[in-house]
Amino acid sequence: MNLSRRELLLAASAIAGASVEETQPAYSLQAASNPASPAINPQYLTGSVDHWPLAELSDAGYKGLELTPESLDAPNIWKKASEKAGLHLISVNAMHSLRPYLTGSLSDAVAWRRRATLDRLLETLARMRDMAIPLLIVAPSRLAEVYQTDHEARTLLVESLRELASAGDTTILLQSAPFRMFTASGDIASIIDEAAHPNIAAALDVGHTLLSGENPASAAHTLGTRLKYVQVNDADNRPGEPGLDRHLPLGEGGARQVDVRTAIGNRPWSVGIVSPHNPIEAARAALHWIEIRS
Amino acid sequence: MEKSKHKLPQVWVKPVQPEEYPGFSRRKVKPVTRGDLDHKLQTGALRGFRLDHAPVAPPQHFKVVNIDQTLDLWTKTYDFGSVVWPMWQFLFAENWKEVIDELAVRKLYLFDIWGYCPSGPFDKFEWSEYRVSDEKHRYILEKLGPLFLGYDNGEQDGRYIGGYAKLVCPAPATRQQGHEAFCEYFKQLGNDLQNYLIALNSLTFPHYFAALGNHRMLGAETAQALPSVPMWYAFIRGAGRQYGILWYGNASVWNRWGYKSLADPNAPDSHASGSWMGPTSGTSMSLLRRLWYVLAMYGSVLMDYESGELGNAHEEKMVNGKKQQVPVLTDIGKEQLKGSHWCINHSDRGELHTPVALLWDFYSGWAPPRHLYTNDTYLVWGNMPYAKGDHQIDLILRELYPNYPDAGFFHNEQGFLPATPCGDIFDVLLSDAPDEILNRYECIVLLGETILEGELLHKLHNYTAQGGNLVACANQLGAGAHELFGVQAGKKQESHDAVIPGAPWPINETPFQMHLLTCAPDAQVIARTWHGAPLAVRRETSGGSTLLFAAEFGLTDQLLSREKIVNSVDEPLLSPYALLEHVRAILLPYLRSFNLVTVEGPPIQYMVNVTERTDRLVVTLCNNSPQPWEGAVKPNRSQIRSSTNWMTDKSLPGGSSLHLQVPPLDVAVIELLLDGAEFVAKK
Repeated sequence: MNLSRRELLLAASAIAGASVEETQPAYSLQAASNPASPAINPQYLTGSVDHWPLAELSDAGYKGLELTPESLDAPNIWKKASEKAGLHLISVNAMHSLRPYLTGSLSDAVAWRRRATLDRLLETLARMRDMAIPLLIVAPSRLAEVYQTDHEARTLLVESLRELASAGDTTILLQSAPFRMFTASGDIASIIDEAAHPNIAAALDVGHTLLSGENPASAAHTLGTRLKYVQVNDADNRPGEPGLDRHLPLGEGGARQVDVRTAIGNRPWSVGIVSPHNPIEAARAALHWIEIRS
Repeated sequence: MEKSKHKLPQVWVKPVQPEEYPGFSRRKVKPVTRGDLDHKLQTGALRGFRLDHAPVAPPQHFKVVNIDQTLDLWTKTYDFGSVVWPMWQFLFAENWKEVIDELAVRKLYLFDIWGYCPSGPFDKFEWSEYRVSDEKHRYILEKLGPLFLGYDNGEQDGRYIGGYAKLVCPAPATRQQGHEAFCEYFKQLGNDLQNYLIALNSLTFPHYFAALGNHRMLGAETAQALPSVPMWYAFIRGAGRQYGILWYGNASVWNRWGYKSLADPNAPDSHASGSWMGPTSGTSMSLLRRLWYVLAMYGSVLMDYESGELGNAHEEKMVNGKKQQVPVLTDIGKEQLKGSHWCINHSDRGELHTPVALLWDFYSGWAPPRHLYTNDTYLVWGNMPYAKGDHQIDLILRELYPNYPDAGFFHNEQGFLPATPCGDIFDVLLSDAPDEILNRYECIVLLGETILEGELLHKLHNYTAQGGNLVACANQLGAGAHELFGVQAGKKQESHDAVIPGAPWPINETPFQMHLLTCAPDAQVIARTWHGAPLAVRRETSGGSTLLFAAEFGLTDQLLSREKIVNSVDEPLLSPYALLEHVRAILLPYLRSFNLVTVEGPPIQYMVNVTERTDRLVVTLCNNSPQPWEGAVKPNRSQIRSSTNWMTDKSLPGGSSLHLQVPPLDVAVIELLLDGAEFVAKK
């Protein structure tokens, strides 16, 4: 089934006007609210920009793909295979394009680098529009090492989000990420409110949420109607562990099924685990863990 | 297990000559050569120029002022040396070319232009990102030629690990990915700085800098809150020797809590700036002093103290035939001048004798279990947890350099210069080291998550065939490696005892995992379990030997969970594992046997330097204890004909051994002339 960008967008935003209670709907086995769910990020899964086992992922029960900006640059590597496998393009996760100093960030204290970051993301958004991909995932940065206050960083972040959101009808999803600023869901919610743009909403990364010490279900509740996308992966948040953002296979960290299912509700969602040595088995196990399939 | 005392060891005595390494002529950015440095130790003078106003204040047009007077003060009034080590702002002053021109006229070196800070806006003109234009770089090179040594990659490894590595999302799943993420950061830095870099390391990644091909020298600003120096220079020296890059030494006035300032030696220490500063803050004078001589004996080609050489008070001096008021020397300044003159007067220091290479996989990304840049412990590449093999590296280093993880964490400075139970005889190499480098070492100890197979196996097979001695653990043996050690490996089992050489009864070990080994007829079992399973197997090869431990990494099973490990100032860092007793009992004496001398007495840091002259050794004894050290130095194969204490230039007696005293927290360097050859210089 080929879905139009409009259909994907409608599905993704179906819950936007719901009440708080309705934003925590019962977990949907069918992921009926979005035909591209569950999706999977094949670059995270395999650690590779090519040789994605898309047919096998489709066979395993996946319906959509979460991509990265660099994979949009080379659609010849994956596009035909994804169409053949019937995988819809649901989102682009720009975390890899938001590395302070390297690729830059949305609150970069170095003005030319922030501009370059935004320009690159605007190019990504243009490609996404061409490919009918409705959701772009971004995150705050770390505070610049010197000469930047939290307030200055926040102001730049909000300005950047507005600029991206104004580029078209793509929804810009802000998610928290560990070791950066604004790791609490309450911070993300208030930044989205401050940006006050209809194309700006929230994403929730289960592993990131665990690493920042929050329960994913509670975080989803805090984000409320702003939350439009969930990325599922695990994180080792045991005391004494260094809290690495490893995007572990489900069950290898502190995630609890009940919390993850609550966070997902009937929102579009993806699996963002890393398993380069055994990708298919790990992808299958993720769905089994979450009991998407009876 | 001890090697024959009658057979003279083959010792590599040649200094690193970068131009003799393969590929030197093809390199776009060539390492600094000894010829570039005028074939002598260079020492550092000023660390910055005076500006007419703070450049951050508008208008941002500024000039360097008093160029002549400043250079005169540091290189003539006080002859600190010929190396100028300035902060970067002067490159963007209106009269920057005047500075370069004057350095050229005076034939002064421009070294390690510092202050680059990722994410710092340029127009702050302090800790900022800046880019050197092609035009500017070309001008510097045209004017200074070999006198320009490079731009500073200054503690950026620590900065990356502490501030950027954990932002990689998702975190690397393989060591190779960890390496790629690391290199991306340094690619950016290199591009900003014309890929013409000096590495001022802050952690244990000098090999990776050297392998990038854009670094010209390797070194470190020791002390501060940075790693233990003997352990650290095993990496820096090893990288220099592996990749053909010279190294330098420096000691910082900073520690974790503040810095030493002797500007007014009678002033009370102050915390007004947020860090302690004053006469009793920062690095102690005794550590600064010891570091100078240790780093010089390690073969540093350039030496300096970080700062604090001149005081606030002035005195009258004759300068260019005129009386002038000039700043007085502080104790730091006096020590630097004394150390510089000592190096000039004792220029035939030779090469540090490091017969043993510790070798592990190129992609390991190993870093000390704790360090300044993060509160995290036990990570490689800054974003991957230690595996058991990484703990092996840590625990072996704790044996060779006791308390090394304490460097920078203890007010009493323990760990910076630990005693060396086996001598300061180790270099760290990575698995990409070519045959000709491996063959310079008498012994190679394979450590970490390193699998002995493929090209590495081929290289080490050749190595042992040419007389090398190889140490490994059974779990590190890959396909085809068992034959080299004269064993076949069977299934794994748990054990908890060991019978070690010379002991009739087994010792109790903490439970550990071991491979059951079946030995070939030419393999000798030198330790076993009480039930007879081989624990350590030695085999003579056609020229050398192998030594294999059956226990997994030579370590116990995990003893502690991460939760119980506390990383605090003034507290040691526990390890989740321990080195097995039988491994310690066999390995440490074996490694010690590669020394050319025996040092008898309380624990002390000691090292030996060698030259082509095989009847001459230079022994350094660094007493890092507050008690006087008293003991003896004994060449392993010869009698001492005569000896000289290089600290006093006084003669000492000969004999079979030399009885010595080293004052508390001080260093002694002794030249021994022997009645015969102590070694054969390896060709």
